[in-house]
Amino acid sequence: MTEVQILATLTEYFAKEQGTKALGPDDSLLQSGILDSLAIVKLLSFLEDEFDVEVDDADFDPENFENLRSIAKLVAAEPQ
Amino acid sequence: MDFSISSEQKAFRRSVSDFAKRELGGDMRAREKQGAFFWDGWHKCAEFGIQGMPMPSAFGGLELDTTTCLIAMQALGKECRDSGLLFSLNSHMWTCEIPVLEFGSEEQKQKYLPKMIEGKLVGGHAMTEPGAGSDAYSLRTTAKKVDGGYVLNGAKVFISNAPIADLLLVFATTNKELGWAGITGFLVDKDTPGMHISKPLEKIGLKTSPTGEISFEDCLVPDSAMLGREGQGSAIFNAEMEWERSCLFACHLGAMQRQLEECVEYAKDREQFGQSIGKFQSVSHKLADMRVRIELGELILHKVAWMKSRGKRAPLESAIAKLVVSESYMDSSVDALQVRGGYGFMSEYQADRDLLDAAGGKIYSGTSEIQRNIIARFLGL
Repeated sequence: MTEVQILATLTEYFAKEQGTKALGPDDSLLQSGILDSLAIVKLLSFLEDEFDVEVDDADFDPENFENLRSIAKLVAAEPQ
Repeated sequence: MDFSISSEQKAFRRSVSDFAKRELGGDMRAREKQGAFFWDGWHKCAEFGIQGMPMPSAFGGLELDTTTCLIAMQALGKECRDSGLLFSLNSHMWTCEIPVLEFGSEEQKQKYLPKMIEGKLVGGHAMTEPGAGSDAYSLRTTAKKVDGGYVLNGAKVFISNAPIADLLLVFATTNKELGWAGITGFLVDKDTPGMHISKPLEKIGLKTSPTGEISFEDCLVPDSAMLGREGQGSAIFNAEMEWERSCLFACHLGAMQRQLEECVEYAKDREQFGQSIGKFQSVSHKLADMRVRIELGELILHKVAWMKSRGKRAPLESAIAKLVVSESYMDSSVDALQVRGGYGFMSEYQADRDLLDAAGGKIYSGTSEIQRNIIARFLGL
């Protein structure tokens, strides 16, 4: 899957989760509070199920979850 | 779907049961009265290999898979009445050993894991604060970066093993603006200047598992004390909660099995109105419910273990498991008391310990309400 396709899937996921308008790729998720402590748990499970990637806990870095673009980059870089 | 356990797992379960019956008895009531930790039991568990069950053999562990660990904890829960010892063991293993294994540097693993597995070091986990319980990530303990390390300031409360811990995994914020994403874990040795640990707090249950408060006053820890990287605190906490919410609660399942066996025996022996009370549906239905709870608890716990054995996350499943098993333990403890009637109310039958331990189980590792929040979030609510 390309980064663009991953980004599109993530945009749809967040739109469904937040029940609001679609987020832009660079909109803040952490500082804005959109990605709270429960949302990150659910997101990590979604990434595993949807993209068949393992985001290793030991490699977890909050910077990778700052916005949709950074998450898409992370997913694209993970072995599938 | 194969629900069977292997012959090796059955053999290990038997050996754990035999060990617990042989070595983990003693005068539980006396220990409870004094609030005394069962040190002899702790060291015997270490000799047997309990503290090293999930740990790699390179550090002296038994390198057992998650399901086998769960089966062993269930056996311990059934045969060992000292629930405080079991609680301390679980805290040590899932909330301190496992984080060091999964997030630690090689130096940290070498420094701590062999001694923790041998039972020579006791681990604890310091997250909860006076103002941060269910809202764990609103913690206020700060870790300010200075040259060569971090300075910790703050206070922790209800910390299991604190009064006896040699090593504490302390969670502090390194970036308050980021909330949960700004929390970092630190491995702090006891006697570190600036860290003060209270005497054991008096609890209504789990009396033989020491619980304390910790305060940090300009407590300097070196850079090498950080576990993982800055901001990984939530990842550490979430990972260890999946272990705790499955393996610790396997001990509850074991206790429920013991309760059921004792109640069935009682129901067969006790006669009223010309027959054994087990013949009355009001009694047999309670016992049937107790059996159903064990079966369902085992299924969900084993599912969590299966997922974790395959490297899968199980946040939803571990929340369901914790909720189901902890509430089942409370329901079965109430039923066990009721089945035994007046005799059950006598302290000789130790129903009070089960009830109060079960009450604690609905609170620690995230309250039942928090587990329901997690489950509701996965429903999209």
